[in-house]
Amino acid sequence: MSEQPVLSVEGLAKDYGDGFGLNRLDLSIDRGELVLLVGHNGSGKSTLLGLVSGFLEPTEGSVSILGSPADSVEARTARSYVPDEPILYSDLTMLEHIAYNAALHGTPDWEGAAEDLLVTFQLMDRTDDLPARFSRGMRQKAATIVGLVRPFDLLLMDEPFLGLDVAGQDALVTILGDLAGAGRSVVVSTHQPNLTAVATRCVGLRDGDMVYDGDPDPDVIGRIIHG
Amino acid sequence: MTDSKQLAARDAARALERARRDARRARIDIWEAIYQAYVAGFAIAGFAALVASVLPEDQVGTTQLETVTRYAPVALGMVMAFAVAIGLRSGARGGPLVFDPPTVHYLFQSPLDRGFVTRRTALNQLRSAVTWGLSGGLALGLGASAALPGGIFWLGLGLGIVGMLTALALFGAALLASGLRISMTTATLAGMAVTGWSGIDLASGATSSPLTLIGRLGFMRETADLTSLAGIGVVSLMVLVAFGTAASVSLEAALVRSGLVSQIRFALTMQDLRTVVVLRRRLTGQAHRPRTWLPIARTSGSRRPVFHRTLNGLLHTPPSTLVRAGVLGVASGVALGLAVRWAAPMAFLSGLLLFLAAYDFVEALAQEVDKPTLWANKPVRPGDLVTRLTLAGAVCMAPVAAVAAATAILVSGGGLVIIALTAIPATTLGAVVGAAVSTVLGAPTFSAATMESEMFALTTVPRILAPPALAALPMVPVVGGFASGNPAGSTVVGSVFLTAVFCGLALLWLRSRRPELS
Repeated sequence: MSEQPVLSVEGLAKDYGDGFGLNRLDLSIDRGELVLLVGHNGSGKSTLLGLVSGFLEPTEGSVSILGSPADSVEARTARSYVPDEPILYSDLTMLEHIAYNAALHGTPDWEGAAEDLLVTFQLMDRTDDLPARFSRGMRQKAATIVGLVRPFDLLLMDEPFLGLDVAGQDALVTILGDLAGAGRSVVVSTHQPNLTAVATRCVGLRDGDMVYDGDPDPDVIGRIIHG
Repeated sequence: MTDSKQLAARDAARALERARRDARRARIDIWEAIYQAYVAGFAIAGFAALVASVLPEDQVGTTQLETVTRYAPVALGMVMAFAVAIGLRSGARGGPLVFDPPTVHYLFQSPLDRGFVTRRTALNQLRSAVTWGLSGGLALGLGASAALPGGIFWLGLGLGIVGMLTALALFGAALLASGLRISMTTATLAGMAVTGWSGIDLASGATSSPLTLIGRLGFMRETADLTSLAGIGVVSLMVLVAFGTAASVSLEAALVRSGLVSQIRFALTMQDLRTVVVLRRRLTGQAHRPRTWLPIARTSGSRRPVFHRTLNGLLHTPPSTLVRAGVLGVASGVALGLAVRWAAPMAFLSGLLLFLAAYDFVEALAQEVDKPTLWANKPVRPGDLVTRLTLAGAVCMAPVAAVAAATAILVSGGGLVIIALTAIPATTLGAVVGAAVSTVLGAPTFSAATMESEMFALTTVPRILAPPALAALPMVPVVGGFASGNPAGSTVVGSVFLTAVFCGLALLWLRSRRPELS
């Protein structure tokens, strides 16, 4: 018997009232896959991630994470979502964000993992500062750390490289590759070319339809993005 | 496993809530708290004084008292019915719960039971709504105590309870509609049924609706009896069921609301009336239609491109905007009609209602102001564009003025023809110019917002008052005429003169505006 997919999407559609943001999409992602989600603006990448993360409600179809519906407690336990615009409390410090999110998910011994991530993203000396006041790139790093410090089976990231400096981009590529190598499933919406080196699969979207599902070939990705 | 994770999440959420509450308490400045209490007390006293001013100074006689005890409870029930209808429609749009974006992102993505978060938020918001309702009811009782029997205690108690229950009904209806995910059509039909039931009570003098039963509590000593408890029971049950369904509220709607509501709060803080109105309309899901209501030629080639563009934009407005403009026109006419029959100051209300309607007719101007780069690159003098867009808006608002004038003539029984046909067009022009001034003024600059509070008040109060004052000014001679019995002719001359002077000055000011490029 084959292993249950981490993410299973069937006939998933989202109608915003002025046309379909996503048009009856079928997708299955297994453990250990690092999937690049590519497409031009308005192609449906953020809509797909919003639906899988449970923030958007589908017009048709279903999403299941490890066999549970997207809005179930089980799915929320298994899924970590980092949106394109970092969402941070204005009254919590960097460390308080991490501690709170770790506690919400019942994460034991989070301090070590948090320290590693803070060092990697060069935020170790900013742990007692309020990240809501950070620059765009630093807020992106903060949101990424908060999303990574808790346990998950499926990581969803929407444009995680936005605003990151080169060191931050390289660090994130390494981390995402390591996560996939450790058996976590990762879906990243991005145009970042150097992620193709560690990605295992690419899904291309255009106007809400899936136009490609295969190897992360840079030439193919270029053609999808440039239309 | 999942249960232990939920308990851990619950503990974490509670701990954060406690920490944030303690931090808030630690930040409280005693003088600031005293000042806020003073402002709240002042507002309640002001409302009570307003109520007292429209009621007789002495105790009403037996006949009038009979009329009050017969109709006032039903009228209070009707107010509650409208509150329920508004609540149902708000709930169908995803209201009334407002979460801050991080709460939606972190708590709703954790293993925490969603009902735990929604019910706690609902309880906090309900507490605030009930306080407002109770305060409003108490102020009403205080203001009515000179004219009505029962004294401050009984009227304050009765109307305070009705105010509190009205807030409960409004909030409960919204939460119920949101939790049950009912459609807007269902919410509207249910709202119509509730108001219709109270309307039947009003027309027949019967007491059949639970809301009318609650209304009887308002005049406790005269009209309340044990049957009122049934009304309280119905509202309480609705609130309890609503809390039971709170876990099912739409996360998507909550996210949209949380973003818009925080912007509205900021705009309110900055006294930016136009932004509040625009965001409030966006919150109710009003988006422009892709197609125009009527076929219209392209702007290119038009000899009057500014007017053409204004009309073009208006033809894309959603049905709710058209309905709102019509309703505000009718309400303005009713207010003017009632001014001659009942209380002359109602004429000011007529002007203010047209002012609210006018915001939709300066939308084309607002688009330029919001995009200063586009505005600056138009091949006309920036100030000329502002005045032309304002006047185009005034021309496009003519149908609303016609509705208001016709309504005023009907309500007054045909006695207001001359005044309605002159004062309402003058007020419409004042309303559009006022809305244009409000739009161009926008929010205070950051440097103004960081001034000492006295300086901020000195600069901000005129900003808030000047735009609606332009709509109310043409009604000053009308109010004076009604109060002193002056002939319509002199009233009309005064109204037109004031409009010409003040709108002329405002248009000159608008003509001097330039885009603020950062």
